[in-house]
Amino acid sequence: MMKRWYIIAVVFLLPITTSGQNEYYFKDSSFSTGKNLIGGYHTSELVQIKVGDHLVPYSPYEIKEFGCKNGRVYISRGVPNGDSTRRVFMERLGTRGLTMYYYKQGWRRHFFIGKDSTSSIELPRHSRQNQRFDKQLVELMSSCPSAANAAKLVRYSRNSMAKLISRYNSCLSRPFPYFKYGITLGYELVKQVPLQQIADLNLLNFSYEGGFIVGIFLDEPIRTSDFSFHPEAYFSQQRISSAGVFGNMDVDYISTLSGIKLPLLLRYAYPSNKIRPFANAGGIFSYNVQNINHLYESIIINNRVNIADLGPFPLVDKMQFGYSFGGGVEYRFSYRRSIFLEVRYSSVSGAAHPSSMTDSEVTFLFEINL
Amino acid sequence: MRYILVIFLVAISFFQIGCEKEAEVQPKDYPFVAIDKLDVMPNKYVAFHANIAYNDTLQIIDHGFTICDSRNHSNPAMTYIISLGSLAKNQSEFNDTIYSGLVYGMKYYLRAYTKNTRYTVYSNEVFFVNK
Repeated sequence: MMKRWYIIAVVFLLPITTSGQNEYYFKDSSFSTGKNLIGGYHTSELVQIKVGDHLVPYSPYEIKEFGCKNGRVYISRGVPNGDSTRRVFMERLGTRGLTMYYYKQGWRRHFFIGKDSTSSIELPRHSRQNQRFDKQLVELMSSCPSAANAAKLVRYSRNSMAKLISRYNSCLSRPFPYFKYGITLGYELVKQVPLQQIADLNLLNFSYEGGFIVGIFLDEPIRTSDFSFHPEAYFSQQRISSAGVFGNMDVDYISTLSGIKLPLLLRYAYPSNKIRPFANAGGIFSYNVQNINHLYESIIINNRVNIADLGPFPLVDKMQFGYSFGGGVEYRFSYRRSIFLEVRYSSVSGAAHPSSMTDSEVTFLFEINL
Repeated sequence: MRYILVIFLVAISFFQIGCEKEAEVQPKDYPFVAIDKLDVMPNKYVAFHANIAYNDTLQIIDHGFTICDSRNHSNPAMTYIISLGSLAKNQSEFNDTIYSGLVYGMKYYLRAYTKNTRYTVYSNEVFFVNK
């Protein structure tokens, strides 16, 4: 009888409580709902419930189920504990179709999967037959090919599994967020701009000059969403030359820069299937391993040329910082492989010397994940 | 395989650093000469190296270095000329070494020069102290 009331309460009250951002819990045969019922701290072994003005800790033996303001639902269920069982609070991932239950004890994560809480089985990282969890998931999700492909990319983490279950239950064919790494190739156009009045530099016209880049990238989804942290490290080399003629004087500026650039970007990729537009922005750090700059002044009198090097002064800093933003498209040619085409603008200037040059860079990038 | 490829690419990138050819000045109708290296071993030798850009129009009939000490810095009559003779077209660098004749502790000023049938070009000036 009590079980029937429990089921009725779950079926009818749960949608109301979750849609209204209310919290709730089942204790014995009673159901309570309201705002700020559940304390901010709860583990697999206790939940704090507000009773009057106090927070009272309850165990999974006392509370059957509770729901938090953020929509997460936790259920008390037994797990093997040696020869016996013990109860823990598990978070329910997915509400219809296949359901996954998750709890964490210490650093160890536990997942259970099944049609409901009673028939679910544990999904260890490696089974006794030494089968990886993702292989088991691929088999379980074979009825939905897009989810089965996503299962090949899933991580043994709460967010990744929750996303996978949701994809399987709706059988949505969308790119699954996963960690990518690969090769970056590109062509970089650099224009140097003097920040302040430095000798004859301001007399010169600077234009964009190009050089190839090669490097690597990483792309780590943030909380298994369409946003990702996208760092890159690439080698770049530039040879910049600018000149001007002023009466009987030639002014020449040359700059040879080669080094490593590290853009640290936040990327958003639209979750479309084959072609995904994306945009990213963030900071960039440059370390110029080779950093040779000269500003020559050549005075020509009666076919006699006297060249003077107006340096040395810190025209370009060894370390430069700045910002970077850009956009492009990702072309997915399999569930795991993509190529990325991007146009990016960056601006870097030296931190050490305020008189140093600012580099404006337009970069055309081609990336492929391995 | 993927890891090997990534390591290979990174290795190539690092190898490239330092192998970069330096930028050149914009085209000129005279050979643009600049001293780019100076190696001083006090009381043993002083080696110097110069680059020439745009040595492709007129034959260079003489090239070399000029050196003077700090007491005679602005006195052309006291400037010693190290002439290395003519230079083939399109040759882009030259160098020389002095093994003796320098006073220990003295500051010296050095320039490279090139002379073709139209222009005499003196490079940027560099200095060193023989100590």
